[in-house]
Amino acid sequence: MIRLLKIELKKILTYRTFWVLTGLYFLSLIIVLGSLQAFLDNIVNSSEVSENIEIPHISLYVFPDIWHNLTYIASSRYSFKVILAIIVIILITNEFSYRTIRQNIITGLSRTEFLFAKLEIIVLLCLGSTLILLVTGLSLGFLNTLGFSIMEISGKMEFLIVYFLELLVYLSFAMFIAIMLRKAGLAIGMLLLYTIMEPIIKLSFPKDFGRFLPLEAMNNLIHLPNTKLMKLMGIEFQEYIAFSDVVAAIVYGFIFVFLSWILLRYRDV
Amino acid sequence: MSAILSIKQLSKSFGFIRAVNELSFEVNKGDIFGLLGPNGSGKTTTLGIVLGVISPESGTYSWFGTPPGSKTRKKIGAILETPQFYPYLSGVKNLKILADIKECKYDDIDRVLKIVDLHDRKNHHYRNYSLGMKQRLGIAGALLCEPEVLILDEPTNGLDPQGIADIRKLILRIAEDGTTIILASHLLDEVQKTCSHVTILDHGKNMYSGNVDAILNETPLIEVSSDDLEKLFNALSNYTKIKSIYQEADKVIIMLDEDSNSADINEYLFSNGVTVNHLCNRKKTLEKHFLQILAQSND
Repeated sequence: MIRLLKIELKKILTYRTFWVLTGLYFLSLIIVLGSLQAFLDNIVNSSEVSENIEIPHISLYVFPDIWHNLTYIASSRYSFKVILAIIVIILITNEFSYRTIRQNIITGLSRTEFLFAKLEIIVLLCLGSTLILLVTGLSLGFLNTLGFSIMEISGKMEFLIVYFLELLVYLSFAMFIAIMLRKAGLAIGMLLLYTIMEPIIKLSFPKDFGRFLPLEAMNNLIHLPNTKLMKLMGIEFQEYIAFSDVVAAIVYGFIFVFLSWILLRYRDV
Repeated sequence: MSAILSIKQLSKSFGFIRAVNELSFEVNKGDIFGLLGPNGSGKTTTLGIVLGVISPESGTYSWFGTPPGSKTRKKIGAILETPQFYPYLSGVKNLKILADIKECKYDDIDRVLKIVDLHDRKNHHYRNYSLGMKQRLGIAGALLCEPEVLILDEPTNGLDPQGIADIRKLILRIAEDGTTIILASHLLDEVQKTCSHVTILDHGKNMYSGNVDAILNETPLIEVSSDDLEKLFNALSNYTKIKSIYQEADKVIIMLDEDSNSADINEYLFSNGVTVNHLCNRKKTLEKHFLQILAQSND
């Protein structure tokens, strides 16, 4: 395990594309999470609301709801986690376009080791993102919550764990596309196309089936946070993490890793 | 003698093309084994299969008498076709990755870089290397960690004459240490000058397997020429101790029985009233043998 990580880290340590993209991803993650409140306030203030309805001030950065709010934004399938998927796709398709996977295997790496090495990098990226969220969440929470207890701070922190899981499954999906298509442009195009198409495909499925499509299943882990504004409008959202959603996501994770392994095992490189 | 590599009835098709066709051969310890064949004869596919990157349709192969796997591949150093490295990494970093995969120490990196004369460029990015330098880094990678078997697929591709001579010398020197070497090439000269054994491939089939010297030391051909070529040809055709005869431009080429030599021919022709103006032994080269084998296969 350590040996594989050492090998993978050597491959990316001086790979500029990787660091530029990863750096920008983390930076934009922090910026967006930090300016979320201002963004929401701006929308509320500029909206034309009839005078007789008083909109309560909604703070997104209050413990413990902050964990739900931040992870929801960070894991949105249309937002920056796509960048992370693109990074994974580039790292894997590079091995095919440089044909270094061939040299790796000739030199003595097994196909399973190759897959695990890539998975280790994916886990590192997920850990990094979760860590950024933890640090950002703690900073914003302390700045914006008046009087807090340990219970309040750590309450709903399970959203961070689920966020990690969601990202892990999502990046396994990206890895599978990369191994299947082998070309960066093709794989990125396919990922984006599928991201756009899935909500449309979902419509053609029976209602209960559609939620088991891969991206949908991942996104179901963290539902839209139930803010006071929503309650005001009489809309109720799921505020907890459903066990069945976690199982569905884990099953998808295993499927993507297994399919990637099958492709590596039975195709010539 | 123990077989280092044993290939049995190996086949692989790409679409309608049968790249390797029921190929069998063995490489023994200490051999400098040449895999010779024209472009597209299945050399690289065969090596790709035994190196684990291409899966065969049928047939088996074994290394060191054991079934293949990533563990056995660590004992083999190989370049397949063009060298493949990370372009954004330096030569030395690329070799470190290979050393990590092979689970050996980095101490060996400097040694192999010096062997291929790349030591002073080791910190430069691979993408900035010239074609010859890339090839030499590939050879350095194959030499890394002193493998028991060295597989070189067209190793002198892209090298200048000096580089080619260096690589040939290097191959012979490494072989002296007891390392088994498998050399794939379409260059007959290369195989003739370096290899002890050869397998000739054509359309994925084994056309000939054997000792290089044995081919070269077969009864030599004799060139004879005379002012009256027709008379010469007729006279020689009647000579009893002759295996084959054919005309080539202004010469008649004959292959004699083992117990006969060029002096006998001279005497025979003189006594039959044919004056010879050219008589010489032609040492058979691998190239002639190779072309002959290919010609037979096309019949």
